[in-house]
Amino acid sequence: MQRDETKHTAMIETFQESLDTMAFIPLDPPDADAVPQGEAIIVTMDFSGPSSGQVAVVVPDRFAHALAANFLGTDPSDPEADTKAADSIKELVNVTVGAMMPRIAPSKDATFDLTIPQARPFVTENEWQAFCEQPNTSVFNAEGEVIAIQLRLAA
Amino acid sequence: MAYNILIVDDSATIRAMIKRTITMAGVPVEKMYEAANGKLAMDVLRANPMSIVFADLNMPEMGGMELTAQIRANPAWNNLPVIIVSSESMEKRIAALQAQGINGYVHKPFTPEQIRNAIEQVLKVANAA
Repeated sequence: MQRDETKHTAMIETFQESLDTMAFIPLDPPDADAVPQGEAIIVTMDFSGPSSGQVAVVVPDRFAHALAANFLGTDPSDPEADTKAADSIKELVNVTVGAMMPRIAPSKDATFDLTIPQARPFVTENEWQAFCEQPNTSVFNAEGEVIAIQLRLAA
Repeated sequence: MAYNILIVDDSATIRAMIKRTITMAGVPVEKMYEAANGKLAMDVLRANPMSIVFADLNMPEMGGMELTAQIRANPAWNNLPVIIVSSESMEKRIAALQAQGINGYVHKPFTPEQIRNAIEQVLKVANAA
């Protein structure tokens, strides 16, 4: 699958801004051959309009807990960070996609329909490998954890 | 005067973030209510007097657009301030919301200061009326 550099860059920028503004978490380049440690989660969200496609984000559970804790201004060991971990990563994707739309829109009058983010466990190392081998995937290091984000555009 | 505030968002995390921001901002609060979508928010509104509503746009069952329309269609809630908190940033959609009578718009990703400023602005207008 070919990668649209303009749209991919828009996704990375809005992802970075969303993480930074709401959770004070910077994105860094990944360590070589890094794979997520422990259980991981994938969140997907579809958009349709002048451009259509899907944004998918994969993060280890530990990162989701840290994200929830930063969102809530608490400690990752706080039980509330545990219960809101999956919801936090879904919200991060929701914010990223919403903020990305004006940057990929052909005009100010354009409108997009967005779906509700969906989460599921991301189980095997093979699945991670296949996800990262796609040219439309970018891998980062955040809070010491490896995370990945992908933009799939509909044909 | 203390305020009753309703926070409508399908994300429990965002509801918690907004609650925390309001508490930290020192806004006098009588009670904060939560709802996971517009339909549940209508139930809360029918049962409780409210001072401000914070609502997301993209929610299951009933989104923020329809919730705002239903609030504005009821004479009892005609002056109830509605602040939309959403990742939606297309100008056309925001203009439609403003035409529908929202009182404020906070764009996600938001900072605590943006939530605090939106409350202060709405309360300033309400208190001057």
